[in-house]
Amino acid sequence: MNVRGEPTGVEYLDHTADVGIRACGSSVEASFERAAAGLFALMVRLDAVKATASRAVVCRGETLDDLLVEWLSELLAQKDLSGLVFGRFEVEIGRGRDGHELRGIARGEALDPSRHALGIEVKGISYLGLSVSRAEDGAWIAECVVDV
Amino acid sequence: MATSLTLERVASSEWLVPQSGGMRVPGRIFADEETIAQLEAEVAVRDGWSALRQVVNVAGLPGIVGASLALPDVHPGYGFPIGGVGAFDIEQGVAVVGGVGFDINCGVRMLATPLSREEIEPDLERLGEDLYDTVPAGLGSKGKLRLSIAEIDRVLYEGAAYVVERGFGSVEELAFVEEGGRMEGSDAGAVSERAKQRQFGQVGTLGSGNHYLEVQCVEKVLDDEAAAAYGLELGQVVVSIHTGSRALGHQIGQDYLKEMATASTKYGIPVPERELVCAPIESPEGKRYLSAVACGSNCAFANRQVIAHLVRLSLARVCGAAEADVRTIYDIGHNNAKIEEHVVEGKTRRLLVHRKGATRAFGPGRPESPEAYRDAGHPTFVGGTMGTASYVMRGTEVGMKRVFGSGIHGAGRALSRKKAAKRFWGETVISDLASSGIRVWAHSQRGVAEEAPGAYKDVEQVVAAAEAAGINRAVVRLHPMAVVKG
Repeated sequence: MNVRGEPTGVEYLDHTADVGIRACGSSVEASFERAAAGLFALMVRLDAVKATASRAVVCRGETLDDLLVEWLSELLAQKDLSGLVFGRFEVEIGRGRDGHELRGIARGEALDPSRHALGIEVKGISYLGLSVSRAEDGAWIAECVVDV
Repeated sequence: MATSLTLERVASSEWLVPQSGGMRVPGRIFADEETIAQLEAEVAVRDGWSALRQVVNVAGLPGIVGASLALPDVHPGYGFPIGGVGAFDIEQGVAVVGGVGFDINCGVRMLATPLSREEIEPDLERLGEDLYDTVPAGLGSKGKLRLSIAEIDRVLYEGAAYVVERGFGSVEELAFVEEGGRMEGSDAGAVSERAKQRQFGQVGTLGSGNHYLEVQCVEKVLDDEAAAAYGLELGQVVVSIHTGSRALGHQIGQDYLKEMATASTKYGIPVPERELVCAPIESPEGKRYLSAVACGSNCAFANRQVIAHLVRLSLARVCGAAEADVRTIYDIGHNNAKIEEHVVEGKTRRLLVHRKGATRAFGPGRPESPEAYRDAGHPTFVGGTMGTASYVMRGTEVGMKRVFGSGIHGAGRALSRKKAAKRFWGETVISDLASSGIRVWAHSQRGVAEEAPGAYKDVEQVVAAAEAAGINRAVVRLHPMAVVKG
């Protein structure tokens, strides 16, 4: 985590009202894991979140772009449904019916405002600026704008 | 290739984006020079994320009537710009997810207290603390009212009336909530189980980000007649509650971005940006979306109703104000799509008016306004920042003709959250405000930094631009005294 609170491989992009997340990784899976870290680092101090509980996530998307929105919005829903916040993520992506299938695990613990240095709640994952792409150097970049 | 963006100044506070390319109508922006310069600068940085591009994109949607409009607090959103208004013909037009957004019917409830600034001052510290402890706010907070799915469904159908039945507030005050606190046409079947489950603990919670509770006093009366109609006088203390439909609305938004993408393809509607996915208003998909929006709206009304009651209890506990003397002035949303009648070129037409980061602002005479406000037009609320004034405004005849009876909703952001967080420090913002007599209680220090007064446009300029354009009129100016941030 750098001084701006950006987790490793994540850069927050300027958007006047909301926040852009750009996550880079050596594989598409790594870029998705880091995008999730970027999402939760807006809400809590990531390194204060212990990995004592977990939630399994399965989602599908026709394109990798769609899959990124599905993955991140599923994590937002799981946060509300379970009362957990997540700090570590593992993602596997394969070909599924009609596109891509993601199987992931999000690890974290029950939200504790006294320890987690609350940030702001993310309301939704928008399709603005959405892109999952491969750079010339082979790195994968997952980008999206989230509504806060 | 995207349409190039040109702006023509047509009046001191009005710019036209001439119709070109795929635009079906022109764009019309009501703003001051500084805002226009900011809009142009955004295009240079990243055209696709700029508010101007969003105005142009909306202008290309089927059935749009008149112009794609932006009000003086315009800034980039997704789909529609924030401060964006788009009216669509019922038969030819579309219902657009990005015209409402994730926080359906986010809005402001304002409560009038019987207390003056001087009377409340000695209790202010205790009041702020009590509000901070009483009203659930901030990430992950849980409401005092736990509802089953069946009860959530009642909220979706009955709105604020349901929580009044559960003991939060009075039936009489519902007359002073937009739509009477219950938007017609809701269908709980149009809302996913997941949306309802996410909402379980969230009815009566404030949320975070730009949501707040603010104790304010009337520091200037600018329109005596309207102020008298609203029961506002110089020195009077009011409380503003800014929040929306919480997780339920967020999930509806997320669900329908997917559902309406399918509908856009089915009806062959090209969308320049995924957030503008849409369906014909009269199609099964369009109707279903609007039913879900009505559910989200009712959830927001109920949410503000519960919080208003909690604020009343605080005022009674700390200041001894009788519950019955704390009156709802009005409750109005600023993210919605509503079917309304408007006169267009001499003809009365039914239109679906999307307002994204814009309030309804109906001028005198409209039947939708509470009877007591019908001569003045209903009030609208313009949130400033923690450190600057807020305004009560009203609609005008000009506004009815030019912007389908719409109003500004806030100062509008000038700096991104990232830039604000780099420039400001939460604790410093709070101590600076304290030294100017404004007390802040915050659930998130980072949230305070991102919401620092310096991150926003000057609310005075935004209000002045709305007045110069004649679309809204200022009624009273409010000074912040105590702020609770989510």
